[in-house]
Amino acid sequence: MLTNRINPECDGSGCMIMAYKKRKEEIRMAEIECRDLVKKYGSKTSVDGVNLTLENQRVIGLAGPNGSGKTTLIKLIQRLLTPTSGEITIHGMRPGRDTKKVISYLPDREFLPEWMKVGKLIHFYESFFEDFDREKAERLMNDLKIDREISLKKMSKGTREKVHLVLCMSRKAEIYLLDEPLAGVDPAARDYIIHTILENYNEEGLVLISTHLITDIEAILDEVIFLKEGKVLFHKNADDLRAETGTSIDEYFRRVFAC
Amino acid sequence: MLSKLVGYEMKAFGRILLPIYGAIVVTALLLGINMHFISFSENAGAIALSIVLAILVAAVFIVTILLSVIRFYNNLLGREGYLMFSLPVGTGDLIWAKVISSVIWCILSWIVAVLSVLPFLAAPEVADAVKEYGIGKIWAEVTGSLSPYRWNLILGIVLIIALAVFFIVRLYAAISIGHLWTEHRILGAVLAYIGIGVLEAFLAMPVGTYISLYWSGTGAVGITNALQGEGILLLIAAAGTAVYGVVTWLILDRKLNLE
Repeated sequence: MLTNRINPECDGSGCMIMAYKKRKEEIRMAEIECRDLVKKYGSKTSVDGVNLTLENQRVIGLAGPNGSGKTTLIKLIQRLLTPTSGEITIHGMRPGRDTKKVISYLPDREFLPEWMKVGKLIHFYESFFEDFDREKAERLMNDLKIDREISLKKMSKGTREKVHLVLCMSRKAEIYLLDEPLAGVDPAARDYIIHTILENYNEEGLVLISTHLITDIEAILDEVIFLKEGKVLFHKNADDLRAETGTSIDEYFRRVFAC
Repeated sequence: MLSKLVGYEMKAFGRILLPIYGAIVVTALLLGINMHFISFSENAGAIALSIVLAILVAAVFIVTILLSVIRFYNNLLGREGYLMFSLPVGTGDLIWAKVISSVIWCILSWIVAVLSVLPFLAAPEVADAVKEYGIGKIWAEVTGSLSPYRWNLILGIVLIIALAVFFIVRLYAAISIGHLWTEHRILGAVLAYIGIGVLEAFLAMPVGTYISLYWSGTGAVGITNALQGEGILLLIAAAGTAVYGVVTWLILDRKLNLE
């Protein structure tokens, strides 16, 4: 009956499956598209003709050695860099004010004003991002026993990085751009970071994590992109890659990028 | 969003400038009390406090201008730019917030500077004269003598604010032009600032000649009417602000490349 109400020409369960598949297809849509994307710094080409289609409901690893263009690609998507040529679209829109509403970005460096207290930073995020979940941020800060009245400059580097992550993951964003969240942190902190990402990301959304530490995040990846010298070597489903190569992604990464 | 950005900027400025304002108020109060009881000419303490007050007033102007420049550079083009350009706000809002807050703090600094002369009214010689003559009478005489020039004064105040906006946006344009360089961006900004100065001097010659010819043609030799002079300067400041504002916006919106 329900099926017939959706489509009067439909007469049975086959049509139900078709409707389900169609709905799933509608849900799985392209979040980010890069077409012939190039970024040059003088004579150096950092991103070289990248073509990518990234869909939602995916955790995607952006892997490559240092200088392969991972950070540049993420900064181009976030519009912190202007492409030399090519095009990026996010939900069909060019990066700008509207796309920033749906992207939660964690840069690869310290980026918050050091003089601000944690309580003020939570307020700042809440004021500017409609999808910011204050309760979640408060809970995560409590878990870390972070005093709201302490400013960032009085914290250790590791604690500051955790504050950055908490603020980023307290948004119910459609896209998370996490640039090297595991770089330069101790193994215990890595576990905390991975746990926080997995527990808090919006499952309807897309998570793009750049890293050269594949082993730590391999288990959570749905897809993986290998970048080399600014070019996409491949973009594959993580399980398919493991099946094709007969090895872990980490092992394959070491093989591909062996010096 | 603009009001939120301005509020954030006001706090960032306030944490530096308010303590200086506080120091000026305390010094002025001490000076006033000191001068009320001991004649200025025999009062080494008052002389020392006057020097401190003069240094603080000079410092407040220098710090206000420096903060305008530093906040623009660090907060938009430095590492904090990763946060600011990730907010769902337009580039114009980011620039306007900087301009509005800088101008408000400039005005507050002027007010504090003007009020800092009040302690000198506490000197017995001045206080006695004021008491003898009557404050109401003094006020009536001052307002009476200024009355014919009230439009000049009002326009003069508007012109001072317009020129403050002009010089702030001019600095932003120079910093933004420096940002077009791949490296040595501060050097680029300094050279751009010098270049802008040279260009302005070059343009000022024909414009100045045209204005004086215009006045000669209308029977007036030079700018004899102060109101007209102020009006012309106001127009030039507005036009210059528009040009430098557009340059700044174009570079930050279309050519942004955060390091």
